[in-house]
Amino acid sequence: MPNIKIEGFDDINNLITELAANGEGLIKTALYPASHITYEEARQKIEAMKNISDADRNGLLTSLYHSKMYTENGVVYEVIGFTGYNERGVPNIVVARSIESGHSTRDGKSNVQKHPFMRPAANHTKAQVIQKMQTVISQEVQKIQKG
Amino acid sequence: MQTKLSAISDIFARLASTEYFTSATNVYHYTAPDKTEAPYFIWAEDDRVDLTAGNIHAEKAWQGTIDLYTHTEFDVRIDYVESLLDANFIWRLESVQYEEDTGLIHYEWVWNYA
Repeated sequence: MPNIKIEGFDDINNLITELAANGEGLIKTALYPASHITYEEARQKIEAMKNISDADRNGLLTSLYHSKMYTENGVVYEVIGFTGYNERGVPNIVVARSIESGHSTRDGKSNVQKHPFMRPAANHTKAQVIQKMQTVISQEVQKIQKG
Repeated sequence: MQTKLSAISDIFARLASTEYFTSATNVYHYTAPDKTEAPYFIWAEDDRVDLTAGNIHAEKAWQGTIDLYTHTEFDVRIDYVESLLDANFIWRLESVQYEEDTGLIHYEWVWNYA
C-alpha cells in the first residue's frame, strides 16, 4: 500500500493563525513607510509651487502631517493633511484647499485658478506605495515564519 | 483626428446649452475671466492616469475636474452635470464648499477619461 506524507500544514496553520490575530498590526507597520512616500511627494510639490507667498508655503511645509491610523470596517486609514495656522493667521487647511480646488474672489466677480497638488501626489505615488506595502508585509511574514 | 482633450471639451460645452437650462451657463477652461457672474462651470485637465502594461502606456487616460459655482441652492445643474459625467467619464464628487465671502456654492467633481 503506497503511503504519502505531506509536511508543513502545521506551519501554514500557525502562520494563518498568527496573521489573523495580528493582521491589523501588520498592515499598520507597512502603511506608515508606504504613505510616507506620498507625504514626501506632497512636500516636493509644495516646494515647487509658484505664485504662493513664503508664509503660505512655510505654513504648508511645517504643518503637513501623518494622522494617527484608524480602522473602520476592517480597513486601515491614515490621513496626510494639514493642521494649525500660518504666520498670517490663516488655517493651513484653508490655504491647501484653496490651492487644490480654486475659489472665487472676494467680490465674486472672478476666479482664482486651482492648482491641484495633493491628488496628483497620491496618483503619482500609488504604485510605489503598493510596492512598499508588499515589501514590508513580506518581510514581516518572514519574521513570523522564522519565529 | 479629434484629440481626447477636444472630445472632453465638446462634452463639457454641452453644459452651456439652453436645451437643459432656462438660461445659458458659461463654461470655461482652466479659469473664468474677470467680471464673470455665477452660475458658471470651469473644467481643467490636470493629470494623467494611464494604464501601463508591457512597458508601454497601453491605455492613455486624462484626469481633471469640473467645477460649478452657483448661488442657487439645489441647483438643477448638479443633476445635469452628473448625468453627463455618467455617460462619458469615471467620476466622483470631490468636494462641496460654501464660500462665505461671496455666498457661492462651489461643487467640484474629479473625472477620468480614457
